[in-house]
Amino acid sequence: MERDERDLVKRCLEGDQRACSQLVETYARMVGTVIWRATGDQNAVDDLAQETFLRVFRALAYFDARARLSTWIYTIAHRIAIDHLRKSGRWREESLDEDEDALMPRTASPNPEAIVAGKEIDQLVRDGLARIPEKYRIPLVYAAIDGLDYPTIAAMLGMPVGTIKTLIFRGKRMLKEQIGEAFNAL
Amino acid sequence: MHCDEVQEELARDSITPGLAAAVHKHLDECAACRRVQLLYSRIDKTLKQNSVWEPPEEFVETVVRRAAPALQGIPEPPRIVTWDVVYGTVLALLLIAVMYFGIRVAAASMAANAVVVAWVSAALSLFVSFWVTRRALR
Repeated sequence: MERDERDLVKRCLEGDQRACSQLVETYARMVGTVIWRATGDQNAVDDLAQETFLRVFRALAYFDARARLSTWIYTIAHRIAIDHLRKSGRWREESLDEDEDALMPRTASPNPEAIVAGKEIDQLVRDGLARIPEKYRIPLVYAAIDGLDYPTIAAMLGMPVGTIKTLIFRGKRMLKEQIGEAFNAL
Repeated sequence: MHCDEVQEELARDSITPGLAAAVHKHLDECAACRRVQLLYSRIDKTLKQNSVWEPPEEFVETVVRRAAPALQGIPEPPRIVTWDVVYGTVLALLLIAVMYFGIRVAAASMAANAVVVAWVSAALSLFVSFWVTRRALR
């Protein structure tokens, strides 16, 4: 942890409200972005981001000073987002050990003509993303956030960097399988 | 290179060093793989262009207000030095003292090889103790 971060944490622990405001201001945007990308639910972001910071303040005394404060806060945001997905019944978990066929999405691909007729490529990608398992989608969308590097994502998800790269690679391939046909028809 | 191999490289974050020339050569000649390359670049572009969340104006104030009770009740940080660590340290120092005097007695009464073995064993014991203590403190 850098000296500034250490000082900020110390002041928050002493009950300094300005320091607490500074902590929230510094990390709010990224916390909200992580939650938004993970849940895809813009209406829930405000509440879940607030919940993240409440948990941060409650656990701040136990924060390991050797870790990076930002990574620790984003990890809490990620866990809150996953809890939200689980509660809303949208979390689909699969084993990494499954064979390649099993890694492909289980839902049938939509009719390419129907998609292409009414939607732009961006929409095609978003629809495809919504159909791939969370396990692959989450690293994929996190990797696209400016300011989140692989080691940070790996720490947030509690996985080695190599596994994160594999999940992103497989996620992209699934996405290609999902939308490739429709894309080629454009 | 075959289309499957090229498309696998395209799905990676960066093309494997040493394969770049072969991948580009294949892409020059294969329209299907160029299409896949375009698809991956559109996927990347779409993922990147999703907006960043902007907190509402009153967000910081609301959070700090809601956190106020928790902030007043923040417990003391856990103490790093506990009695377990103190006892462990005292025990380790006693062991080192016993080993030191034991080796001095051995040196006075045993052959040179035995003394070397005793010193190596002592060094190994110290190293293992240090490593185990360090892990425990983490």
